[in-house]
Amino acid sequence: MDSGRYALYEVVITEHADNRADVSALLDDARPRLERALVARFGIDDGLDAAAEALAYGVEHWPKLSTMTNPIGYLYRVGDTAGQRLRRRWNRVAALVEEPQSVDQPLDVDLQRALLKLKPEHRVAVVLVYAHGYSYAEAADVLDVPLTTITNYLNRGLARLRTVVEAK
Amino acid sequence: MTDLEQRLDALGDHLDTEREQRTISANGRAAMLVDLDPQAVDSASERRPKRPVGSVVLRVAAALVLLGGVVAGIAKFSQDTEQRDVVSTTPVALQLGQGVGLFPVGTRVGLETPEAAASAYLADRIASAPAGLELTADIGIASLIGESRAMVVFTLRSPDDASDGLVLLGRTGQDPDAWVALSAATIGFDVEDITFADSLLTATISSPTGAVPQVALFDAATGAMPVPGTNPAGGLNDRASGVELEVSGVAAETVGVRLWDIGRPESQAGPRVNFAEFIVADGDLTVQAGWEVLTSFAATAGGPDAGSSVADASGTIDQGDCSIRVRIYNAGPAAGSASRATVAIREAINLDNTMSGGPLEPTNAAAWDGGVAWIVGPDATCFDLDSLGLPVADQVLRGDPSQQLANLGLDERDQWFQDAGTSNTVVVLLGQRYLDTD
Repeated sequence: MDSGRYALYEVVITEHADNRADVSALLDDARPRLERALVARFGIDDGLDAAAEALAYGVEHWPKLSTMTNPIGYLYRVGDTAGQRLRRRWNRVAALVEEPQSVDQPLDVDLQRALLKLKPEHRVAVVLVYAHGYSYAEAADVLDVPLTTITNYLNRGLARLRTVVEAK
Repeated sequence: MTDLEQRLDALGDHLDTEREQRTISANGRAAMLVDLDPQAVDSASERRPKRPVGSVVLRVAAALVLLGGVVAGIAKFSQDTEQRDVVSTTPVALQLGQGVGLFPVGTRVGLETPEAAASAYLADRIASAPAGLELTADIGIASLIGESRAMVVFTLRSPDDASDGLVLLGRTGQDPDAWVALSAATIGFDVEDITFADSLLTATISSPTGAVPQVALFDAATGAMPVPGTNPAGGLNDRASGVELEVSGVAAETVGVRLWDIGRPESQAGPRVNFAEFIVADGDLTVQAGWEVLTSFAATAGGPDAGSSVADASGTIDQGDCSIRVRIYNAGPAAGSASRATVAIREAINLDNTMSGGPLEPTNAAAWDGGVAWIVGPDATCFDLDSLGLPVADQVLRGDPSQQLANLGLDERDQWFQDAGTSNTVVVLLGQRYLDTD
């Protein structure tokens, strides 16, 4: 799965060889943000694949993307669409990281399961802000929503998360 | 830092470690390209997965723009035959294969105007509404979006309940007047995570009442039911994050998914007539379904670039150095009250050159046994609210919205309340005793 993920980048970036520096800068800037958001959205495997597709799309459509005020937010939507296509309900994830590669067992399984009970947009907002330390404005940019919407997502998501965790 | 926040922080580190474990750096990838074999590129290019195209831009501003049409022209109709004359517009022939809509079914016909198509569509749907539900509907004039899409505001009304909603219509044929209905939803009725592949349809549904909706699937080309007797008992499981729809064995290439949420009869709180419908083709990645998506819809053809031509999405209203946000909540029985009040605010702003911007999207609310209340956030007092043409208040409460809601006997944790934590927001509650004179 991983080799396919990167082959996609490699192919598309060569199509804009003249803008390689700009495209590389996009990858550097957007990649971690998209990956974090889409991993929170779909879990580690589908999330990374969705981010890869979004980045590939972004690089391939670089001229259009370079004129946007919030290309990250646009790419998140592309990745969101890709992730929905990748995911299959009969193979639904039970944790954001089901089979970790860095440790022997999944960490804080209860918390991961509780997060999956949140609405997707609430979960992404909570993970970006409370797990990755993003500011509200940074999270709003990634999700391409107003600051007030992020505030709502966080208020509702965190309240719901507390309820679920405390019910365990 | 609370225990929960510490756990989230630790999880964040773990997610980053896992992420990096499974990826290589972007710089590394760029460097690798220098030596990339052109033949390998060509080969890989052929294997490249099909990308999503025509992504929908979600812009909250759309609802404000669209709802502006409500007052200008309202057509009324109901299940009554005589009143349905308004929808008997002559069908226009379409080219076969030009597209499929929810209504009229199939690819052969459309209607001459978006309003006609919306009227006919809603008349058909309320005629086949769940047993015991006696409905009428009002529609507003259409707002055109680009050249091939239009949105029409409607209100579904039962003897003791009502909900506002939107119908998305499309021009699917070569004839410029042929319109079909593509998607519809009442306020708060959302559908997310839609997938349809290999005869399996899945989606996540959330409704204003939290009830399990009745669901029916139709072959969008023929109108036949590919899954006879689809209903909540057969296809839905109530889940904490919403209602999970999962239907297998769907024998159609394109299906219409119709959802009726008539609420929980034992509860008297909030709106109980809720409806949503959308169309999805096998493998479709750009489904436009549910209230949030419809209200945010700005342009499909132009992508995000087209969003720049859409009205201000911030929902703020400026007067000199003072900037506020205003949202109307309908907590009473009169359908469309919040929409009409919102339109009135927009008109007041347009007529007064000291103000600019626009109000937030109106929404339904849990029932409130009162008249009209303004809740003015602590940073919204700089604004001359009288100039906005708000519904006349019986009560004006100032300070933290959450606290003031509690003073009214309402709970800010209720799902309908969207403005917690915004200090410059003015919340206008239209309660059970609000007299809508429109």
